[in-house]
Amino acid sequence: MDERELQARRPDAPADALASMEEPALAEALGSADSPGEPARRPSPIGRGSEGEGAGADVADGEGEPARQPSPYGRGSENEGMGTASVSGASAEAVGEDAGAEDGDDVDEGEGFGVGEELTLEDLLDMYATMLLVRTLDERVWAMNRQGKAAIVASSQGHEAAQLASVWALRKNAPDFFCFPYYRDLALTTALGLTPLESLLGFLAKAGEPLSGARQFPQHGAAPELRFINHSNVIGTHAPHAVGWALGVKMRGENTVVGCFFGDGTTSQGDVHEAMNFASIHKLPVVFFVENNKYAISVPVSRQMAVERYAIRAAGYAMPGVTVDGTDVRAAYLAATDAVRLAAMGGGPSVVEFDVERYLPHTSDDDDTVYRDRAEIEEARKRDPLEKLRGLLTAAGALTEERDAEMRRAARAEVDAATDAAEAAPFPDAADFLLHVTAEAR
Amino acid sequence: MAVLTVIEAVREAMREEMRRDPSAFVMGEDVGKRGGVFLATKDFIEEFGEARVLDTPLAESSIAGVAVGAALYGLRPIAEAQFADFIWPTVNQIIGEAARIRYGSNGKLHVPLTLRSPYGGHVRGGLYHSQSVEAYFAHTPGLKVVAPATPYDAKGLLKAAIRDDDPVVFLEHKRTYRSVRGEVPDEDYVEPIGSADVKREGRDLSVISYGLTLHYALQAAEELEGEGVSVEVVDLRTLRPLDEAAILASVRKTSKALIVHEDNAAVSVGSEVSALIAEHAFEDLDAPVMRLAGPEVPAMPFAPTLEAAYMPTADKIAAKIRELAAY
Repeated sequence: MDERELQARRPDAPADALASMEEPALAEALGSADSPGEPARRPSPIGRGSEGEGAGADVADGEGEPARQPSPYGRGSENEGMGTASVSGASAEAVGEDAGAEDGDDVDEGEGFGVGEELTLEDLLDMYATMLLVRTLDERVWAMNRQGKAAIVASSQGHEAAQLASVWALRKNAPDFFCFPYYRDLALTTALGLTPLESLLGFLAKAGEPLSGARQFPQHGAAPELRFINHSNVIGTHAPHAVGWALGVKMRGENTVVGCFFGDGTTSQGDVHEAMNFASIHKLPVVFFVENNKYAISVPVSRQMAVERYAIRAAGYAMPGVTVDGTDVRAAYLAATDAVRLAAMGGGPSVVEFDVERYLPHTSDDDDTVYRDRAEIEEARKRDPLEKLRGLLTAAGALTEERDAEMRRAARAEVDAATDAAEAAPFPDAADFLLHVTAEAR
Repeated sequence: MAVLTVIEAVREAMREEMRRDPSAFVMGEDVGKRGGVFLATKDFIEEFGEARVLDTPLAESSIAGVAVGAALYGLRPIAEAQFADFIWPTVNQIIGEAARIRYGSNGKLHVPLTLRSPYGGHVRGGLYHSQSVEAYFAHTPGLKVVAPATPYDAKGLLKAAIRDDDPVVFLEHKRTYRSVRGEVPDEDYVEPIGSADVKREGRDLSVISYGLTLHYALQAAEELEGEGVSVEVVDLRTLRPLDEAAILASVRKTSKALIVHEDNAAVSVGSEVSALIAEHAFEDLDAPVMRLAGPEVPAMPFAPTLEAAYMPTADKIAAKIRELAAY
């Protein structure tokens, strides 16, 4: 082949140039593109063992890693009297035990991670107050939807304990945490500081809505100042974003944890698989919190996955995975805390699957009567996280009927005031809606 | 000034930006020890280490999606889709997410992400190593789409893309990688995204193109010079946003426009340029806007005869120029 090459010069390339071109590198490229390196093997804490056996403490990896040591901070549900978690394969302990067994040079021995911090009664009362506020707000928004004032709402009712427990676990164990929640996380966003008024400005699509300027569905957009981004309505796209954020954390040498939240429906997305695989390969500080309410709109979990529990899949990524009662704040908190500490100590990602309930249709546009038995919902109501927490606090002597009534009045008053303010707020001025397409088009 | 190939210019742009900015890093398939299948990141892993030269699993959606997350965090990822034909799994992340994040957060977030990809054919790549993907991305507000043709432009525009605070899809025509050489300044320079470049001045008609066919157009223009036709050749360089002023200025000067690209014509970059001229320079035209593009088949076929039939070659462009000149 004529090797004469094209001389392209700036500013005016002469055209004589285009003689024959040298053979492209395609053949070479094709020949070499199909031999990806084997990903490094990591021991699985889940692959063997059963409940109560400290599963995962002794999995050989064939690469001469030192024998695993018990976690410096590990703790089991049994000695806390907190009765957590239906965990099998990987028990709640396995999350903790795995962490202590990683290479010594990238595992902090637990200092500075709040080891020993537990939920205090004050925490539980704070959670209860938040839960009351969120439930009141959620119910209010549904009423406003039926009044034609709120276009769309996806309820967090039944998920609140899991979300609040996760926030508490992150806050106590990884102060610089960041969250990538999804559309059913009203309790989470409220716990992170989004006020009822700010949420209502979103539900009513009013000016001043802080997440997206009411460009997006309620609860969507970003509040980096509150430590969360919930940008997309497309399920699962945020899982790689959370992992990318965690990659940034690792590259910058910072020490924090990213929480990525999604429902059981999202677990079917390829992006979730790719995100978990990537996170585990690089041992990134991210926790995948799965809020499994057993329905993807109308499709029951039995038609979404063949495994009995989603957390089983974590084994396929060499990650710990636990399933825990997500209607019990203490159980959820313990599981979340173990996972957060593992990530914070350099132990990598894990899955915490919360067994939660969805009391209402998928959204206000859904009609669940065509696919869901009322008796099933009534049964699910027995696990109401709000009632569970109220019972716990009452039994502990921390909540009297009077105090409860007072807290409910306070929640209602706050939501009432927020409703009035949101209703009085104007809609956004259309003069600004072309802004923020790119940096140039501000 | 050094004389570099396009692939060398791409490599130098990334190397200089990674030296300049510790938040810049590359990720993609085989970018590490292999140095990229086209050697765009050759020797990078030795200089920058594997943390900043990140070999990924063969999973394009997460290449893009993890890059989006890293960009949100504050890094400047330079992600690579190994061939543009493999870019489709990134569409959800790039078009669905990256392009909309600044807008959907009301300006609170931005995504400084560069997605590089070798595109285009005439390399015996067949259906799945020849595709032109630009129109799909160029349609999307919030994205920038760059398609340089020369080493100078490749380096200057890639540096601009990496420094840009918004997502940029950076398309490198793979046949130009080693076949096109050109002078590249030794000192740091950046070519602005969104600006076209008149690669050849002329009086009688304007050929508007980009990528590989830009070179074929220059060759055809040279040939037509001998026939007494003075052809101006405009290199779009950036496909979104288009340099509307440069396109209109050239057409107003010559009064005739031929748009040439390898991508098929329907709903293409050529469609947009044609509409732009019709809307804003109708009264300056002495002839209908003409287009020469790839045929309406799904992709470029493998056999050499079929590939040749597909490509808008210099001969085909010359014939079309004669037709337009004679109008």
